[in-house]
Amino acid sequence: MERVDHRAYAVVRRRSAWAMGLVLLAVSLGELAAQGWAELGGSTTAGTIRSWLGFLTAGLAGGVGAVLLTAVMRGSEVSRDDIRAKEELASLRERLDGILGALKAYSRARGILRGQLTGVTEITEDAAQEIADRFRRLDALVGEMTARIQTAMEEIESLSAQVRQNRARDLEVLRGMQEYLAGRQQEMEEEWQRGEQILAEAEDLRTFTSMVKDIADQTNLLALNAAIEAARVGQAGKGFAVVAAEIRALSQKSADAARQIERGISEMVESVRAKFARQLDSAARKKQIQILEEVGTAVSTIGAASADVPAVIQEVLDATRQTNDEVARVIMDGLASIQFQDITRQRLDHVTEVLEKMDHHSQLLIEGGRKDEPAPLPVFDVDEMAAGYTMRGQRAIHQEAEGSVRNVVEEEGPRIELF
Amino acid sequence: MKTILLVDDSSTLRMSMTSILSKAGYQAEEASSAETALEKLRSGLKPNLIITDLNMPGMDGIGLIREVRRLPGLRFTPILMLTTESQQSKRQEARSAGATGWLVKPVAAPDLLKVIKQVVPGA
Repeated sequence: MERVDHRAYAVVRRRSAWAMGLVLLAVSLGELAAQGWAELGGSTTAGTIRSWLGFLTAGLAGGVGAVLLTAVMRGSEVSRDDIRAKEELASLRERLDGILGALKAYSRARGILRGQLTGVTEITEDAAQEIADRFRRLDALVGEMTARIQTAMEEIESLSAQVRQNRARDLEVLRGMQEYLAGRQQEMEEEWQRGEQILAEAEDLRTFTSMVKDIADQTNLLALNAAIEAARVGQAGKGFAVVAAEIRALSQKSADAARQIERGISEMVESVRAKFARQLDSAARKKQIQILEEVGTAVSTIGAASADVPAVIQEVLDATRQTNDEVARVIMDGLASIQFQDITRQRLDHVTEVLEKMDHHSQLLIEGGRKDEPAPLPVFDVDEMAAGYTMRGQRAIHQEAEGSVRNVVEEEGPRIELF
Repeated sequence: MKTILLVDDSSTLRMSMTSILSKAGYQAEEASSAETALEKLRSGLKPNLIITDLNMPGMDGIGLIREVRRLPGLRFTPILMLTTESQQSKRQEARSAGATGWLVKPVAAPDLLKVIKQVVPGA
C-alpha cells in the first residue's frame, strides 16, 4: 500500500514539474520576443508598436503557458482518480493474494495434520498389537504353568488317594502298636506282681521250715524222754532205747534239713531279687511305664497327622486353581480392553474425513478467487459432520462445542441387546 | 468345539477377540472384510456363530447379514453385530436384515461370552 502511494505521487510531482517548466519556458520566450522587438529600434511610434508587440508576444507566450499548465494540471487530476482506483484494486488484489496464500497454507497444514493423525492411528495400532501380543504370551505362560500345576496336582491327588488308601492300614498298625504298648504296660505290672508274689510265697516257706524245726525239737525232746523211760525199765526197755536214739538222731537231721531249706530259700529270694531288681524297682517301673505312655501318644499323633495331610494338599490345590482362574479372567479383561484402539482409530478416521472435506472446500475457494466469474461456492455445513458419528462420545463432544446440533441427537439403545 | 467367524477390518480387534474366544474354548476364524467372510462361507465354512463389525470398507455388516441369509444352511446361524454404533435406527436396520443381537464396543469379555452362550445352542 505504501509502495503504491509513493509511486502515484511521484507521477504527479513529475507532471507538475513539466507543466511549470513549460510555463516558465513560454514566459521566457515572450520576454525574449519583446526584447527582440525593442532592439529593432526606429521611430517612437514604431518603438511603441514594437513594445506592444513585445508585450503581446510575452502575453501570448504566458497565455499559452497558462493553457498548457491548466491542461497539464487537469491531466494530473484525472491521473490521481485513476491512480486511486488502481491503488484500491491493487490493494484488493494484494488482500486476495494474502487470503489465497493463507488458504494454500491451510491446505498444506491439513495435509500435515492428516499425516499426523494417520501416524497416531499407526502408533496406537502398533501399541495395541504389542499389548495384545504380550497378553497372548502371558496367557501362553499361564497356560503352561497351569498345565504343569495340573500335572503336579494330578500326581499329588494320586499320592493323596494312595495316602488315603494306606491310611486305614497305617492307622490299624498304629492302633496295634498302641494296644501292644498298653498290653506291655499291663504285662509289666503283672510280671511285677507275680515276682512279688513269688518272693512272698518263698518267704512263706520259711514258716514251714520253722514248723519242721519245731517238730524236730519236740521229736528230739520226746526221743530223750523215751530214752529216759527205756533206761528206767531196764533190759526190757533196751530195744525201745535204740528206737528212741534213732528217733532222736532223725529229729536232729530234720532240724538240720529245715535250716538248710531255710538258708536255700533265703539265698533263692536274694538271688531272685538281685536278678529282677530293675523290674521290681518301683521308680524304674514307673519310668518304663511313662516311656510307653509317651510312645503311645506319639504314635497316636502320627496317625492324626497322616489323616490331615490330604486335606492340606487339597486346600493348596484349591487355592492354586482359584488363582489361576483369576489370572485367566484378568488376561481376558486385558484383551477386551484393547478394543480402545479400534474405537480411537474410527474417531481419528472421522476427523481425517472432515479435514479432507475442508481441504476440498478450500480448493474451491482458491479456484474461485482466481476466476473473474467464479461458480457459486457450496456452503460448508459443520453439522454435516454429525452424519459420520457412530459413538455417543462423538455426539456429546459435538453438542458441547456447538450448543445444539441438528440431526445429531437420536435415541440410543442399550450396549448389549438380543433381538 | 464350536466355530465362530469374526469379521472386522481392525486386525487389533480380531487379534484380541480371537484370543478371548480361543481361551474360552472356541475355534475362531477371522475375516478382514465382509467380502472375505462371504468367500469363506461359500467355500464351505459352517460357523456356529458370526460376529461382525458394522462399518467396514466395502460391504458393511448389514450388507453381509443380508448376503449370509441367502446362503444355504446359514439362514438360522446366529449373527451378532459388534460395533461402535449405538443409535437405534441402525439397530432396527440390522434386526430387519436378520441380526441376532447388537453389542456396542467396547464389550467386556464376560459379557461377550455370556451372550455367546445365550445365542449358540450347546455353547
